[in-house]
Amino acid sequence: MVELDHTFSTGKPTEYNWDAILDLDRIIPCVEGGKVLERESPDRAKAEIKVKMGAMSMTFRGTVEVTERDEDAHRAVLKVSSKDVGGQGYANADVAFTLSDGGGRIHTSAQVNGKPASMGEGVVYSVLDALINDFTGKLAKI
Amino acid sequence: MGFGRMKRKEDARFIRGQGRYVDDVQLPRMLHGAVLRAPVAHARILSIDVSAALQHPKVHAVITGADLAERGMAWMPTLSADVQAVLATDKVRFQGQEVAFVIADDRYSARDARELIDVEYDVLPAVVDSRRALDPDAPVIRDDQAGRIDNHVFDWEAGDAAATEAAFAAADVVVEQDMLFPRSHPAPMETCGAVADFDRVGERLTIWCTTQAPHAHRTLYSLITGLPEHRIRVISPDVGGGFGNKVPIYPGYVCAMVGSMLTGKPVKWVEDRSENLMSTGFARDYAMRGRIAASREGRLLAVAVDVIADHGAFNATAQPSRYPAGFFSVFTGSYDVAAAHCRVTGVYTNKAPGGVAYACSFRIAEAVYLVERVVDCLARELGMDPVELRLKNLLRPEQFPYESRTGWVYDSGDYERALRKALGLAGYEELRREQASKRARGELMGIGVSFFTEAVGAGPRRHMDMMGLGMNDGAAIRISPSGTAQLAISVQTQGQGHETTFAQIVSEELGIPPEDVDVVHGDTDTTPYGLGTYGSRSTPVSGAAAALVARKVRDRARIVAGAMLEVAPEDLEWVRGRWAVKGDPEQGASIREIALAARGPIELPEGVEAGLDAEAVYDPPNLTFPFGAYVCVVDVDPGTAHVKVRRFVAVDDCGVRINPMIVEGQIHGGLTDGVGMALMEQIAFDEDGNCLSASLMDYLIPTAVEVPDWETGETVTPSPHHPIGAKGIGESATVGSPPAIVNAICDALEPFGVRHVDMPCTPSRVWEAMQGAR
Repeated sequence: MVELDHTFSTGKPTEYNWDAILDLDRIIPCVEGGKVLERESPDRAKAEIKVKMGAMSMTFRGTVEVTERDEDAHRAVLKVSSKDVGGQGYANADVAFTLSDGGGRIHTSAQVNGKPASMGEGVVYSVLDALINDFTGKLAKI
Repeated sequence: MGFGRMKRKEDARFIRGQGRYVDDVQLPRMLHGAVLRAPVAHARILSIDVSAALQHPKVHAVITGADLAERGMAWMPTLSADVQAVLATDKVRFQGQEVAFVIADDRYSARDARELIDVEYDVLPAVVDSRRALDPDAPVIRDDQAGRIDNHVFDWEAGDAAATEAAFAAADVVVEQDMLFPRSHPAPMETCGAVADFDRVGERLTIWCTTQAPHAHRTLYSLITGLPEHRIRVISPDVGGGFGNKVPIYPGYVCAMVGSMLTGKPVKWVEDRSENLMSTGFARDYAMRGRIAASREGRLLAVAVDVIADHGAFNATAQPSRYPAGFFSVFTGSYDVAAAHCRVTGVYTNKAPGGVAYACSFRIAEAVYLVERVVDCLARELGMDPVELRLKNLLRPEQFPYESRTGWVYDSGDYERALRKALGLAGYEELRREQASKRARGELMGIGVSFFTEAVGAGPRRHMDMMGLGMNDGAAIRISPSGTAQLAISVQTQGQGHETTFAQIVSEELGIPPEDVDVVHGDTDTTPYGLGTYGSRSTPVSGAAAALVARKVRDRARIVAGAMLEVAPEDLEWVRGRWAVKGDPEQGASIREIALAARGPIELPEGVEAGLDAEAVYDPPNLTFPFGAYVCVVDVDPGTAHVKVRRFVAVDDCGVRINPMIVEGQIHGGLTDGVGMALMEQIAFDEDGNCLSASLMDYLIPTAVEVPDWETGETVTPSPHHPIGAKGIGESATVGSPPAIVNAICDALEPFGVRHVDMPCTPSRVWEAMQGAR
């Protein structure tokens, strides 16, 4: 289990940010290499992401689902469940957004299994950290 | 001529790039295989869909566990009377376990197609910590075994429990220490692999594979395939390091064989580095609780130990069948102890199988580490110098042959001489003075000593076997008419220099130059039967066979010489490499002259056959017991907790040294192993059983940067029962060095009150120990 914390700022009102992070069609492409394959419902999408880990390149395919939503506190959790298409591993994560004026915080707790996990927690951590940092950069322009 | 320093005969081909390894084998029409492995440590297989992989244009076949089950080959026997899945049928039980085998035109296509296989898993909780494996709520790993309700493999004990407990109850001082000898890996430079070539018409199987034991492998392949043993040929070409990693057989070998049977073409499979680290024979993984009892004056009274032994998902340990914990019961070490007892409990976990690999002489690495650590802990408790405590309790020369409290009979030893020599080379008193002045300045310097006794050369046939095969080895010699020799041996070299050492043995016995002796090994069709190279058994067992077979040649040569010189053989004596007439040394004949005569037109006595060829099988009457005294000096950076091994003095006694240069090379390698285990090597897992050490970026092995200039010394105490008095050296330094290094680290950390740090003593571990004890 890897836990990471990040912040982001968009300079836009909370309500705008709230709608943006809950719109899976908008938010999933903000993850580098991520795309929506099929929007199954307002709260659920099939998606895939291509990730480079060191010398390895892997494609994870799975679902992203809004599993918690607290309008008053402006807190939402997106649950990611995915499997490497080569069958070499799994990547699951709970991504919790807590919004405040002009931006917010992201707490990620990720569980990576299989070959990517074998690259070591250090690699997993730094790949995820870079991925989320990049994500916060794209959120700023959402 | 004979024993002494000479350059290795095999080096000419290695340094010119002419070594030939399994991966160098290229056969016409050869196909390539790749193994699909389990991504998780514990999961039920719900389905395997290979259809997309079969659509790949370069794929010839895909084999799954179900396909093997139809042939009765989904499971294979291990060297410890268990079974191991060749390809998983029901569940996967460790991350990296073999699930399917893809055969394609080339290695790349096989690996591409492997990714097209879709396996659906139901992931189960994994057993990772061996100390929790027997918890009532632990998931049962081996539910393939009917009626199994836990993860228990075996209980085994040695020594006298009652006498030991009585000694503890009466002792002035008792010290207890928990320690883990972590899971490490041999990580040979050459990974494992095989090329299988099945001749469908003749029903003959030839397999080139990375093996330290070609003949034992042949028996296993026969059991697995059902092919008669005489139609299986196992060839072990040059091997790029074994260290025990290449004793077992691996599913990939079997898959290559099945692949060749299925396609009618040769199939090559060679694993990559990650596969080697994740799935092949690991070593150690003993969680030990040691106790030692002594009088106030420092006389050792008793040693006891309880062990939880992590055997991984299948019990595939390579060791003599009556020794489930290997030779761990030599844990009384080099000391005169009145009572001793050990209890070892083996458990299954969701980790790779294996267990005894990596140059440990069947668990003696664990045993020596245990006793040498608790002796140091005791010295701390008594306020006594650890050297003084050892000198007080080492076995004395007149006690040999010494029968230990756990039943081992040590053949010969002069321990104090070796220890004093090591202390002298190290300048022990001066080091202690240096340490005192450094401590006064806040610098952390540590001095660690270890004394080890090894038990190598398994073994006497009545006690030791693998799968019912007695651990004996053969040697055969063919003498050409011109007096040169071919010696065929049953053990296989992985870099130890057999082609030189064995030639020197024959040279010594027959008085011909080592250059005139070629050593043949690694091919079951051209070598006599024997159990192979591991547990430092080449010189103690096969070396003895080589000496004995050369002596047979010499005895025959005496008869021929008698006929040549027209004297009775009894009137000849062996002088400086020739048979000479007693009282008339001018009259005589060398082996070269006799060899020609033995094939020539000469009348030989009734019943004497032409030629000098001979065969022998050696059944050792006992193990041999090499020993040594090591002194290690470390500096610990007080800021970063980084440990630097500054000096290391190793005095080894392996009996008679055949080629001192090769012996020293073996010691250098073993000491480097020791630095690796003590400071950096560990196969680590996360709580889900993901292997975190599947690359050489995560599994660190020492390089020239991390090791000091080794300072070696020797004493020579010949083995009384070995034909040339040699004892074996291959694993001594690997066994003896880890405790010396850890003892030195704990000595350096004494100002912090640190008594023990578990290996590997990485900077973070050492730093934590420094903080924790404050």
